[in-house]
Amino acid sequence: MKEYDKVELISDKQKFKDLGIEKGRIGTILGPKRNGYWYVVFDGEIFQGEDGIWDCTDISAAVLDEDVKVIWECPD
Amino acid sequence: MSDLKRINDYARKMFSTNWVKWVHEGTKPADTSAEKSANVLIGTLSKHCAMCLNLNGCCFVKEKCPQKPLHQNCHCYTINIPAITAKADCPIEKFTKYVFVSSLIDDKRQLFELWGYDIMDSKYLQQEFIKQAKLAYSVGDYELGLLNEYGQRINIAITLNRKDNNGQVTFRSGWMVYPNGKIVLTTPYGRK
Repeated sequence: MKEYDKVELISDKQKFKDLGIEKGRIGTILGPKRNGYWYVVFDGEIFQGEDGIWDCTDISAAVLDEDVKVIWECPD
Repeated sequence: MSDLKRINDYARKMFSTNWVKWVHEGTKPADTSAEKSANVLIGTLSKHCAMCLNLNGCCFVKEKCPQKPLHQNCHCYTINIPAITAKADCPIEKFTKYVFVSSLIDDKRQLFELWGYDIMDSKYLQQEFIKQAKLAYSVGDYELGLLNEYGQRINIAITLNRKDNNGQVTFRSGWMVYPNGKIVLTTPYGRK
């Protein structure tokens, strides 16, 4: 597992539910491993807000190795 | 907004922006991601608060600064500073390995391609993000984002000229604040 790999959430932990991330959600590791945790941005929907600014419903979270599985390895 | 009007607007803001620097006395500011991580560990092992340690030395405009105190017995304070020299880091991999990489969900790639950009434009986008973020941060044009033990994120609006027509598009990018006017891109396309 490394930065920019695509991962799928396989954990049912309450902390993810509290953030609004459900099991099966796909995300990208967008930061180096820090203190055992990866910084993952889980993909959401993309939309254009009323102010004209493009927005999304992505959710970021700190995850452990055991919380996710790699579904796509980013080439070096 | 015309370029001249935008420049005038920035110049006015630059001279009217009041900056403060966050101070957690007696500790070294965390200048790198690794040092921020070390502070998180220190926070679990000592009486120091990781959030405060990782805000040490970070600069904010007075009205867009994290609220003090951050916790009970927080002894952090801010000092007024005349201005900052903004520095922005933007890893090109955020484009070559994230925005423009195909995967099961590739909305961001599709969106950027809709606007006329592809992976060959990564270097241009990197430079454009750095230019716009430095300017925006230096005049306080940012929104406070997530604050946690790793530090304060800010959102900065990026405007690109569409390559497929004469229009422009604006979206938010996410940056981590580091000491002494430095920001580092965390996500090139983020949420409000």
